[in-house]
Amino acid sequence: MPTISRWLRSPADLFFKPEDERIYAAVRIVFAAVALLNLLLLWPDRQVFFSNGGLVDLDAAMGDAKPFYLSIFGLHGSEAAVTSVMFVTAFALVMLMAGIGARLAAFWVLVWHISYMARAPLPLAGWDLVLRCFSFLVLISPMGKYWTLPALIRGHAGMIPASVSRHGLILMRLQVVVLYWHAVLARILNPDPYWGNGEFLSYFMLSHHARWPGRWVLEYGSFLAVVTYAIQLAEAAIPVLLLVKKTRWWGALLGTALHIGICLVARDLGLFCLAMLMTYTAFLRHEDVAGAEQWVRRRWRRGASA
Amino acid sequence: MRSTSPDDSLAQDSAPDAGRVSPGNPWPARLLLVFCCWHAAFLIYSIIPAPPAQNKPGHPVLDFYRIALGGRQQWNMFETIPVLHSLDVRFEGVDRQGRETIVDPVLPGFKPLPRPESARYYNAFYRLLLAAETVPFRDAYLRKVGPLLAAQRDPTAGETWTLVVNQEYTRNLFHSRRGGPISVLVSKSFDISTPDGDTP
Repeated sequence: MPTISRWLRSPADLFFKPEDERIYAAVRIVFAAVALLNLLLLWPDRQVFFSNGGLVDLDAAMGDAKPFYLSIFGLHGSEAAVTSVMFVTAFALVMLMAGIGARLAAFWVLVWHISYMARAPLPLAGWDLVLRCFSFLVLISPMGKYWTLPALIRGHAGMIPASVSRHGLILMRLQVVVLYWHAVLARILNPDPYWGNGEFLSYFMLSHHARWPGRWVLEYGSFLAVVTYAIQLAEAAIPVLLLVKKTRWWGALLGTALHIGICLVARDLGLFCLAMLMTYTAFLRHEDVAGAEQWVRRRWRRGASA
Repeated sequence: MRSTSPDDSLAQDSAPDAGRVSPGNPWPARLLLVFCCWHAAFLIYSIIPAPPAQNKPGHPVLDFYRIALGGRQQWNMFETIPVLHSLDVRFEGVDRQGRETIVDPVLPGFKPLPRPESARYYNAFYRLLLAAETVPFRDAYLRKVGPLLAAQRDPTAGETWTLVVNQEYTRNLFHSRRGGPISVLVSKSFDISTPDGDTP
């Protein structure tokens, strides 16, 4: 890790230091997979949320957008148009995952995220914001050619992974820090009594979010208070652990435990868990992706010889 | 970076798509660097949440950047407790003979709210009907359903419609531990013929 003074002297060193293109590819593939799952889960409700005949009034959405409305659904709000946009987006996400025309696909995926969030601000959830931010960061990142479907089909003949600028990864990592620390700081600067006295999780477990709400929650108040405090500590610690090379796996483990824990006790927050775990791929290092590739190759050869 | 084996090596690839900054022309690199510094500063600035009362519009340029590129960066999810134990929404109609009809609230087609509650439907209806900052959405929804209900029902029946929102609020833990239910029902209704005037 360079020192802060070195960062200040030379931001170019920070942003342009070479990095393994396979890390970007890992982010691209996992991001596209989660965004595609989000789209597939939205598909049955597309007319409810995005068409002019649905729940969300277009004029109200336009009036709500500040400083102005930016959405492809503003061009046409018919049921056929909504279906077409989502179909094209699904295709773009598959292309992004495969690394074919990845820059154009990433651009469309950003347009999709901006568009549906502007058109339907009412049903949005936390994972939409995460995917929205990463869709921009994926677009401005090096795409690479090594972990793509065409390269895979050719068996990576004559190819070795490229060394590319790491600016996209730096911004992605910073985005993850913002995500956690903004939440932590919001509770410090605007103290909430329920986070402070440890009752937050008890109320959460009795709310509509909870998978098993019931009187049983009232009997575990002390335990849930400890978990409430532990969640706040984890949110503060996860970005630090992820950023430091030696502790990044501990950070990933702690974050995974936190988000899978939320996913287990909460109903219908699975996509938030997946979106957050997706962001951790930006903290991978050269040795991680090289090791993963070697492991897959060994398994592949073993499978082929058997 | 070590270059010990093909699996473990990295090429100093200068292909345009590989994200390498061409040494021949420094301007793309300079522009990219300026942009990265700006976006990093934008993100660092976003770590500090705005005070709750500061819901006034921000600077138009920054707002445009948030919408088009940077994202809204509002990460204070679950800033306080979720207060609702459950939410139910329906239209109740009464005709001239006093007969009651119930119609589901999801447009298009007046479909029922999915059960168990999905996060998206819960968010949509909570914000549509109960949030103070989204009143234009509620008014537009109520204006829209009036003619739709009239079109799909018998126009001679003379039905009058009310949107009923049943909210179960989680009771204070102290009181719940002393007995009684864990939530209390609070109903709110909106007159469809005069959607702007809600009747709690």
